Amino acid sequence: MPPRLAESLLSLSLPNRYREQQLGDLREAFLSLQELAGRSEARRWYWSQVLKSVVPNLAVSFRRHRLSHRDKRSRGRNLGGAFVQDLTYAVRSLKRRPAFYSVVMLVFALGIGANTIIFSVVDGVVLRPLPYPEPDRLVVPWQTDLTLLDDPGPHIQAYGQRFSLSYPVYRDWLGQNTVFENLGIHTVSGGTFLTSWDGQAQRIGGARVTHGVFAALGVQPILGRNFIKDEDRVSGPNRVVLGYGLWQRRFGSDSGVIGRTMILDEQPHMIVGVMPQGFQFPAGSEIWTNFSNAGEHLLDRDHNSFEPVARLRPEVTLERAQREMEILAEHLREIHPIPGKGYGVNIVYLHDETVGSVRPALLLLLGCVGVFLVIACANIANLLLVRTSERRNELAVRLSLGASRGRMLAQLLTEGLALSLAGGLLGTLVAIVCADPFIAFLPSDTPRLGEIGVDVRVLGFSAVLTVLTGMTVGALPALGPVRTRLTTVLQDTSRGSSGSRHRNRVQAWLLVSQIALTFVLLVGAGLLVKSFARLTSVERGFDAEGIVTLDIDMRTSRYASDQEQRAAFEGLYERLRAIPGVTGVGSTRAGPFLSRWSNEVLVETPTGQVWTSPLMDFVSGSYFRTMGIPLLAGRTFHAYESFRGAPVVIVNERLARAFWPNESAIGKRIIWEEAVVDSTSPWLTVVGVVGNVRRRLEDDPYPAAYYPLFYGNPTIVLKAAADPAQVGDAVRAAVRAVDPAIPIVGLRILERTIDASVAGPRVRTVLFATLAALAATLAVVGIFGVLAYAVAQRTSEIGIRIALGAVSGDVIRGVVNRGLMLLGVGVAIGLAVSLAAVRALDRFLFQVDPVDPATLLSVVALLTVAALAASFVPARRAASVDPVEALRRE
Amino acid sequence: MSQREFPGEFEQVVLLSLARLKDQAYGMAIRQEIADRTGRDVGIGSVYSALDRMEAKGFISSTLGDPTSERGGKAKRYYQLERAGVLALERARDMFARLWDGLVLDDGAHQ
Repeated sequence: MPPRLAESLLSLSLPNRYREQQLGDLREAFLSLQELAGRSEARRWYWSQVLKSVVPNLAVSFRRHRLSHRDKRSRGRNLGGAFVQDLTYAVRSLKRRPAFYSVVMLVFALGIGANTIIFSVVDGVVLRPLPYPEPDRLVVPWQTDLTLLDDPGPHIQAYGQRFSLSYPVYRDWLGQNTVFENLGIHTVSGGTFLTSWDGQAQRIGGARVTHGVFAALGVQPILGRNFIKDEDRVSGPNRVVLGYGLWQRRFGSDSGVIGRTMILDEQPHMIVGVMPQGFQFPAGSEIWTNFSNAGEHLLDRDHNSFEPVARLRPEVTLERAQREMEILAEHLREIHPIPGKGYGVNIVYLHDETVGSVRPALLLLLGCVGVFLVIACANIANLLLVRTSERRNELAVRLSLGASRGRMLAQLLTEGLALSLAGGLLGTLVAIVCADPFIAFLPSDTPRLGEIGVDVRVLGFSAVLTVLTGMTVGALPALGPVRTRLTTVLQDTSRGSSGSRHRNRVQAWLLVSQIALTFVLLVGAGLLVKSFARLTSVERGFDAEGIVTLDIDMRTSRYASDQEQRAAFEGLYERLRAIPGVTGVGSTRAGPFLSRWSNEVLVETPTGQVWTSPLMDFVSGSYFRTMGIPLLAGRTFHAYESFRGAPVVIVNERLARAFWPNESAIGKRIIWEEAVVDSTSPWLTVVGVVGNVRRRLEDDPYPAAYYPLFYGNPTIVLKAAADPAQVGDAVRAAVRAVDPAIPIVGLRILERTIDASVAGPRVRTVLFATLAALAATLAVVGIFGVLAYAVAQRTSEIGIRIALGAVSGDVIRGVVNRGLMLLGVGVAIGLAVSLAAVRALDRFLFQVDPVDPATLLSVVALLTVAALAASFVPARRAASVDPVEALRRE
Repeated sequence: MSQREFPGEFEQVVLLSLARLKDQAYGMAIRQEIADRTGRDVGIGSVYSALDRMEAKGFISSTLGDPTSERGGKAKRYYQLERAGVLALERARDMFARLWDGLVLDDGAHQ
């Protein structure tokens, strides 16, 4: 089918008489071209046809409209006809000043285009309901960890608010709740399964889900069936449901796939269903298995690692569900007490859960482009006001010839609308063209990225915005001249009549509000830029220069024993170390950055034993040197300790300071929670203290503990002396040489990973700064326009003053002072607004106080310089007024 | 109808293509004929715009065809050349012929 958007765009431009025929013609040609040259070529051609046809079609619509109204008008007055007449008139007056109106149109296009793009993102991500039936009944019933809810750290507290479930708790909830129509649990997003086809190892993003997950979401498989309740049991048969994309790629959309077997993580699974296109829950999944072999921890009541999702019964509200589930949780605490722990319930809407984290940032951006649009409107209104007063004679003559005030107002509104329509159309086209690049510019972990697009809703928003802005800028200048009388206008000399005084006042207030809002945007931009600079230059605790991270997946059972796997791993290590230009190799389990692993440990302190929950990692002894993490006391791990799981631990400075503030941490002991419970493992002795490391640039370093045990899939870090991008091939070759079946999951430059982790702040900062810079430019234009107009108006007054002996310095000072006065009022208001509004920015700032005197002062300085520059030309013009010439004009 | 009206350049192109297509002249066919004969890849909207103007002048007339499924159930509008259109084309040809008569242009003469 032809591109829908192009079709509706064309349809909008078409007169009724030709709509069917032209759409039909194009569709027919599109289909035959698609057969000949392929879909993308046909789409390209269709778009080019639409873009070429919009203007001629509008011309036909316009002509037909005029023809049909010519007859009616002779019978009587007709509003539509008047509108067309106004429009003709408007277009004619626009043609007379092409440069001026092009600038106005461009400002409109910028404002409306920017708003359309940001709205499309906000709409796709935040506003639109989730793509499931009756989405407002979908909830995530988290557990809460009651011991963490009073934690002073906001991150820890938030973590306690959204605590996962264990399988036994899920079974209890499933059997005993009275509020959910369906309830399911699934493993967290980001999980993977290993399989292979075409002789290659493949990693597929997926999750384990219970039968209740698809049932709660209300999504039916397009082929086969959902898991059934029996398959949720721990040792049931292995079953798998395929995502649409995987089904296409792997099985060529074969509908006979149901009942076949697929090997996942070395285990045969029977395919029972295929989900519809676009279904991805949890995010990034395209394959789902049941809980049949989910691991030995599944029956552990305190193994909280599954995320819930549920559908409320139709009559049950969120509040009621929360109340009733709290009672159930309390009951469960009583019959299954866990020493030192307690879990509650926290039910949130799935929609909030999905997009809650990005909502504030997106609304901030929407606010930012909204303010920019208001600034643009004030600017345009001001320019139009100047233009209207130039035309006041023409308007007055029309008034005296019997045009009604209403008609005059309508005409000015129409002119504003004509401009905003042209600008809005241009802006919307720009938004359509720029939507994809802009989406690519957004952080890739933004939820629902695939649902963003310019569609009818977004176009509707853009249209409403266009009409509103057009009427606003049309109405503002109309306030002035329509009230003037013919006599005053025709007698109006340059010395202010009431009309021009009124105009000056409107003009001054428009400029002042424009400056005030520009000030606010500049302050916001200044704060974000400063914050971003601090964020990217913060002391990280490690040296990322030259670091390459290699993620491989070694969890295959191809290794007969741990020894064999270890041997393969050591071989790989040797080869990596031998690569020319590689100066260090180390391994980490949690990853050098963005780690989220923590575990509960008991720490021996001088005042007794204390529970705490530091970040955890398993590392090689060489990890610290490779990463440039300083060893502050003691030693790092020996190689043999890593493979034997020796009872030693290295802690970071934060942890050491917190528990052994006045003494050396070396020789002190901690023990894992699990070891306390089953008392199999010994206490671990601290053998070293290392520097603090940030796990995210914006988070202060957490307490951390590093253990020597090697297992699972480590991330290998390599330090390259030269350009890290150049060792990639050698690394791949080394992995292949050890075992070609090991899939390389990721080979990344750490600096880029860090860079990507601040994509959100970067997008905000760049967008804010760009719009603020544009707004500042508009402010300069605005000040220039107002002053230049004032000078032109007061030419004779200035002439008289010069004739009476004023030197040019006085004249210049007069003009500049007026500019500075307007600026001063604008800045004062802007300052007040900023101080009130800036708290909203607080959560987006890193190590910068929202009330930052340095930023405020720089913005004042910047605007002052801009205002001086803008006053310069009008001031010079005033000073060079020839008194004789000026007085003669009087 | 104004007897002295001359069709514009693009209108002539459209009229001639329409004449060539005989009873198969609808929007997209005309567009294709123009593209094939002159190499000009014009927008369908421009073709309809010219057709609309010339129908108003009485050069051509149109009738609706039957809707077909490959057009998404949308009908075609077929155009026929009217006598006024034929006369206009002839006038234009004669005018050019008179203008060209006996004229020889010197290649690259603007030195």
